[in-house]
Amino acid sequence: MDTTQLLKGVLDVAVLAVVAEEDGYGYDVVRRLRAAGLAEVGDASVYGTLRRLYSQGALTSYVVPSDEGPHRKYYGINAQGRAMLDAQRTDWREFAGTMSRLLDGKAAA
Amino acid sequence: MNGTRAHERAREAVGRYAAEVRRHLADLPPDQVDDLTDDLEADLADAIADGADGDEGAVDPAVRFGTPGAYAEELRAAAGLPHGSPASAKPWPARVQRLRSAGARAAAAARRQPWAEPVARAATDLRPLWWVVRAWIGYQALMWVVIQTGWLVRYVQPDRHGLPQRTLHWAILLLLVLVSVQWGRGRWGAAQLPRLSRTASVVALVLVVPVAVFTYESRFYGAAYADVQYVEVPVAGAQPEDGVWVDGVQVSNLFVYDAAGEPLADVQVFDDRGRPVRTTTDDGWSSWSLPGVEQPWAFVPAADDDGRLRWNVYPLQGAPYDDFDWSNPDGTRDTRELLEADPRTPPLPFAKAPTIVPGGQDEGPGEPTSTAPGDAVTAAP
Repeated sequence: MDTTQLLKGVLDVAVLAVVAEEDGYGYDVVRRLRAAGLAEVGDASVYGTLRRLYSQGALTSYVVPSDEGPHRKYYGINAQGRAMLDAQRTDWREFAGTMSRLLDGKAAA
Repeated sequence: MNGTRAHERAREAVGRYAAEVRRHLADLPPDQVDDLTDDLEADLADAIADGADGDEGAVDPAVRFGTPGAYAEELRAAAGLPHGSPASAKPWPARVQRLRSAGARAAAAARRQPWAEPVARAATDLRPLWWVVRAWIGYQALMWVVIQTGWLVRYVQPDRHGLPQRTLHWAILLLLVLVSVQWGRGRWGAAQLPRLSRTASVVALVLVVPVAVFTYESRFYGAAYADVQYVEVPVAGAQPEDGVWVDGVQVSNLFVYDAAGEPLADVQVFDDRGRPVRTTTDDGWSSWSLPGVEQPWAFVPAADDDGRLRWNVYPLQGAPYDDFDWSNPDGTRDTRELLEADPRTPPLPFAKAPTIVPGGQDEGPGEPTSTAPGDAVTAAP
C-alpha cells in the first residue's frame, strides 16, 4: 500500500505529537518523524505543515540564534495546538479501531 | 581538505536549489515566500549532511529531494496554499501566446538533441561569468548615460575606456557585480521577483551592441589623446578633427603677446578666409585639464555687441569645473549662466614673452646675420 497517501491524512497530528513532545526546528521535526518510523515523510510536506499549523495558531515559533551555522526557527505547541492534538488523537483512535475491526473481521470471515 | 571542498560544493548546490524553489513560489506574496522558506538552506543542508555519508551523489539536492518545482509544490500543498499556476494571472495576448508556444516547441526540439545536455551544462557552469559580464555592461552603460546627460558628471568624472580608472569607478563596478551575482543566485529580492535577474540579463543583452560601439569608439579616438602630457585633454565629446593642433596635440587656448612681450586680452583671431579660429568645439560643456593645474577647467565664450557668442576671443576665459552648476536647473545651453563665479583667464604659459624688435630698425639675435647693418640703412629711402 502506498503509505505516502495514508501519511497525508495524518501528517498534522503526527507533527503536532512530535512538537508536543519537545520544541523543534524544521529538519529536527523531520528527523524525529523518520526516527519514529515514518520513513516516507517528505521534507517539504513537514515544513509546509509546520507553517500551516503555525498560521492556524496551533504552534508558537521563535528564533534561536546559533554561534555556528544559521539561526533556527523553533516551533512549540500552545494550548490551541494541544486541544487540536487531543481531538485528532481521539479521532485517530476511533478511526484506527474501526479500520482494524473491519480489516480483522474481513480477514476472519 | 577534501571534506571542506565537498562541504563548499554542497553549500553552493543547496543555495542554487533553494533559489530555484523560491522562484517556483514567486506567485505568492514575498512575506509568504519568506515565511515558507526562511530556514530552507539550513534544513536542506542538514538533510544532506544526514544522508551523505561520503556519498558524492547525495550532494546534489535534486537527487535527494526531487526537482525544485516538485519540492515547491509539496511545500505549497502542505502549507495549504494555492497551487502555482504556470500562467500568470493576466493572460498574454493571443499573438504573444502563439509566439511563446512556438518558442517552447523549438526549445523542446532543441532539448531532444544529443548536444543539448552538455551545452546546457556548460551554460549553467558559465552563468557566474555571465553575471560579471552583465555587471560590466551595466557599468559601461552607466558611464555612457553620465557622459551623455552630464548628470553627476563632476562627481563621477566618467571615462569611456571600459576599465575603471578611479576608486569610485571600481566601487561602482564592484557594486554592480555584487548585485548581479546576488540576483543570479536568487538573493537580494530575486527570490521575490524572479524576473529580476532575467530582466537584468535581457537589458544587458540589448545593451551589448551600443556598449560595444561606445567602448570601441572611445578606444579608437582615445588613441589620439593617449600620449598627451603637456596640453589639454578633452575628457569627452570633442571632435578631434576640429580645433587647433600643435605638434599632434590639440590646443585648448591661445595666448597672445604684443611686440613688447606683454600679454594681450580679448584678441579676436580669424583665419585667412575670415572664419573664426576656435580651439574648442564643445561650447563649454567639456572639462579640460590645464598644464600644471590640478582641477579641470571649462571655458566660457565672449559675447560681441550683437549678443552673439564668440569662441575665437583669446585667451579664452574660464573657471575650474567645480565652479559651474552642472545640474543646469534652467536647461540653458549657455554655460556662462551656470558659472557661479566670475570667469577668469587661465594661467599664462609665461608672464612676458620676448620683445620683438620692429623690422628695419634693429636686428634681433634671431635675424640672419648675412644682412649687414649697412644694407638695411642703404635699402631705406
